[in-house]
Amino acid sequence: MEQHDLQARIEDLLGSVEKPSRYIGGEVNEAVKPDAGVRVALAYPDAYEVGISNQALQILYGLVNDRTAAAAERVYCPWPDMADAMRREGVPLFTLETWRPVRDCDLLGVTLQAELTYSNVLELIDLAGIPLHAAARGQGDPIVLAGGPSASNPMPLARFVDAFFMGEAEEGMERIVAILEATPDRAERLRRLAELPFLYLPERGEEPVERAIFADFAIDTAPTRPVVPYASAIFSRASVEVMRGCTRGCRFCHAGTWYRPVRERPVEDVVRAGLEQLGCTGYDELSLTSLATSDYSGVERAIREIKAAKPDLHLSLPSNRVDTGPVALSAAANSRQRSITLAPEAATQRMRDIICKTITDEMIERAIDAAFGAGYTSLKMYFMIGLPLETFEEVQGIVDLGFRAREIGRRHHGDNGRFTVHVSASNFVPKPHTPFQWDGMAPPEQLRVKQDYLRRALRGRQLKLSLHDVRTSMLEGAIGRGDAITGDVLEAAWRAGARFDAWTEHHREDAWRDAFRAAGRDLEAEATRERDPLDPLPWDHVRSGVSKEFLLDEWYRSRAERATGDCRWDGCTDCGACVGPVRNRLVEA
Amino acid sequence: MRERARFLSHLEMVDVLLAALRRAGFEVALSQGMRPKPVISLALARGVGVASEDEHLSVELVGDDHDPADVLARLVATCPRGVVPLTCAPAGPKADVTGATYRLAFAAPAAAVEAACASYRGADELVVERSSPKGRRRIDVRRFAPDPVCEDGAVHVRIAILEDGSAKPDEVARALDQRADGGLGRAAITRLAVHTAPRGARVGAVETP
Repeated sequence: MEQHDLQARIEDLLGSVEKPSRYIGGEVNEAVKPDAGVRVALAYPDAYEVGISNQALQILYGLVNDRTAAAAERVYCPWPDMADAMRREGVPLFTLETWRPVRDCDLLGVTLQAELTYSNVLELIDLAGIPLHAAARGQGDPIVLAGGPSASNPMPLARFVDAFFMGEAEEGMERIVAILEATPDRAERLRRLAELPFLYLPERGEEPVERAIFADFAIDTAPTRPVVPYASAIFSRASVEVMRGCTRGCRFCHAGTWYRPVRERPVEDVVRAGLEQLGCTGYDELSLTSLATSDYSGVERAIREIKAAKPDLHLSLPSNRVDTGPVALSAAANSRQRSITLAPEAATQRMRDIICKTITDEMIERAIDAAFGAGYTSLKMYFMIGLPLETFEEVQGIVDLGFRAREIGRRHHGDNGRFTVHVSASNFVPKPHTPFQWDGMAPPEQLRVKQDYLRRALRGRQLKLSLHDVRTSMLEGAIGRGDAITGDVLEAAWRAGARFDAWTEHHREDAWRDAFRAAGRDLEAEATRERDPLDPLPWDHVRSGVSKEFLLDEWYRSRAERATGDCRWDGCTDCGACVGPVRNRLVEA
Repeated sequence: MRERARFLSHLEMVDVLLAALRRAGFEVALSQGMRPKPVISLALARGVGVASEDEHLSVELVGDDHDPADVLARLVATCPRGVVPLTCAPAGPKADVTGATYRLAFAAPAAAVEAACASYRGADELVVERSSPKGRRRIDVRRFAPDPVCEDGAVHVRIAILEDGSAKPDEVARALDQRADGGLGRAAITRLAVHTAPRGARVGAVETP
C-alpha cells in the first residue's frame, strides 16, 4: 500500500471511530524526522490517553530523537472500534508522527508497565502485520523489543518478543540504536543485541541477564520537552522525576526492588527542568515524581525555588510518606489543592510490620490531623487486602481507621462539614523479584467476603469506599508470575477476543478461563499458588541486582512480623544492589 | 483547523488553544464564582473531522496592554500542527452566530453533484435522522440550508442557526447524497466562514428560495 493511499484510508476510518484524536499525532513537542535511516516505533500497549501519560516512554522518545540520528515515533493500542475497522479495511498499525506502517520500522519497542496489557501486546504485533511468534519472523520484520518493569518476568511473553530489555533503558537504548544503524541484516542485529548484558533473547535460552541501572541518573539532564497530549490524557501536567529508586523495602513492592539503589537528581536540575517544561508545554501543573517524593532530600528546597519562580503554580507531590512533614510539604506546594492521598497500605501495626511499612498508628493519625488541619477536604487512604498472614483483624482495622479519619475530619470541619474520607482497598497481587514472590494471592471468595464486609461496615456520611475488581486482580496474579505455558494461555485468550483486560467493559473473563483450562491449568489456582523457596522460579535467570537470599531473608522476617530499616539512614541491609559506583546517591545529607 | 487537526473535538480544541496561549506567555483570565474557569470560547462548535478556515476564538487575557499583532505572532509560534491562527483583534460587542458556510467535496463526478444540488433545491422537505446519546430525531435540513450551490466541483452551502436549532453539515451532505442517483459518497467538509450578527439578530426561519 502506497503511503498516500494509507493516509487516505486512515482518514476514512477516523470519521467513524470514537476519539479520533487518539490517532492523529501532531501534538506540541512531537518529533518528526522524515529522513531518518533507522526508525523505532515506541509502543504503549494501552489506549492513547493512558500511554501518552507514561513518563518512561516520553524519556525514551526524547532520548532517541535528541541524541541519535534515528527517529522514534509513537504507537498506542487502537481502541477496539478502531482495531476492528483497521482489520476490516486492511489498514496496518501505524505510527502517529508520520502514519507509516509499524512493520516498516526497524524496531517495535513495547513498554510493559502492567500484566493486564499483555493481550494488547499481541494485538499490537498482529495489527502491525508482524508474525505473532518471534520464531516465524524474518528479514523484513522489525525486531520486537519489550522493556519496562513487567519485563522482569519475561516468560509469559517470551515466544512473542525477540528481545527483552531488563532495567533502565537510558544508556542501553543508544547502544541498541547504534546496532540497528550498523547493519540492516536482521540476524546480525540479533546476534549483536545478544551480546548486550541487559538484553534477554528467548531464542538463546535462559542465559543469565543483568538489570541495567542508569548510574548517571543523578548527573544526566532531566527531559524537558515532553509531548503534550490532547485533552483526553489521564495526566496533563509537566513532571520531573526527582529521584529514582526507593529503599524503604515494602515487601509487596516490585519497584522497591527493581529500581534500587536510590539516585537523587540535583535540586538545580529539577527546578530548571520543571520551569523549562512548563514553558514549552503550556501546562499549569508540575508534578515532582518518584516512588516516594517526600523522601527526596532536596524536596523542600525544590518546592521553595519553584514556588519563588512561579508562585501560583499547581505543584503536586505524589507518593508521599504518611507523616506530618510530607502533609505539610504538600500543603505548601499547592495551597489550592483540596485533596490529599495517604497510603498506609495496612491498618494495623502487625500487618505493617509484616509488609515492612515502617509507620506507626500515631504517625497515621498525626498525618490525618495535619491534612484536615491544613484545609484539605478530601482525604484518600490506600490499603490492600489479601496480604500474606492477614486475619480479619486487619480488615477490621481498615474500617476502624476509616471511621477514625472521619472523626478527626469532623473535629476540623464540623459534624456536618463538607469533607470526604475516601478509603480505597486494592487486592494484594504478588510480584516477581519481591520478598512476597513466593506467596499466593488470597482466594477470590475470601477477597469477596472481605470486600462485602468493607462495603457493609464502611458506610456513612463523609465516607466513600472503592474496591478493585477481584476478577482482574486474579488474572494479574495468574499471569504476572507465569512461565512459558502462560504464553499459550495468553495467545489462546487473545485469539478468543481478550484485549484491554484492565478495562472492565472489555475484560473477557470467559476467554481467559477457557484459555487456562485448555492449557491444563486453572486461573485461580495459578494466582493463589504458593511457591516453595527451594523450587526454581521462571524469572530466576533475570538478575535484578537484589539477591535472592536477601529476598528470602525478608520473607522470613515478614513471618516474624519484623520490619527492616532503610539503608539510607539505618545502615546497609546487604541487598546486593550497590555495585561499584552504583549506590545510593542523595543530594542533601 | 487543517489536516489532521480537524479530528480534534471542540473541547480538545479549547484545551489545545489554552495550552498554546500559556506557552506563548499569556495568562488567561478566570471567571468568578466557586469554580473559576478560563474565560475562553470558540464561537461555533465544529464537528469532529470537519476542517475549518474560519474559527472565532474569544479569550480574555490578563493585563490590558496586548498588541494584537504580537498576540497573533506568539500564538502562531505555539499552536500545534494544523491549528493556524489567521488574525487577531480586540473583542468587539457581543454577537450571535447566525450560521456558517461550508464546502462539501464529494468524490462523485461534478455533474452528479450538480444534479443532486438541483434536486435538493427543488425538494419541499429533506429529512435526515440525527442520532445522539439522547436518542433519535428527524431533522428537515432544508429549513436551515435551503440553497446549496455547486462551485469548482464542490457544494457550497450556508447553514443557518435559528432559534430552534440548526442542521449539521454532514446532515446536509447526507441529504444531498440521498438526492443523487447512485449516491455521492462521503463528503470532505470544510467550514469556510462563520457568520455573526449583533445580539438578538437570530431569527426563527430563513427565507426559502
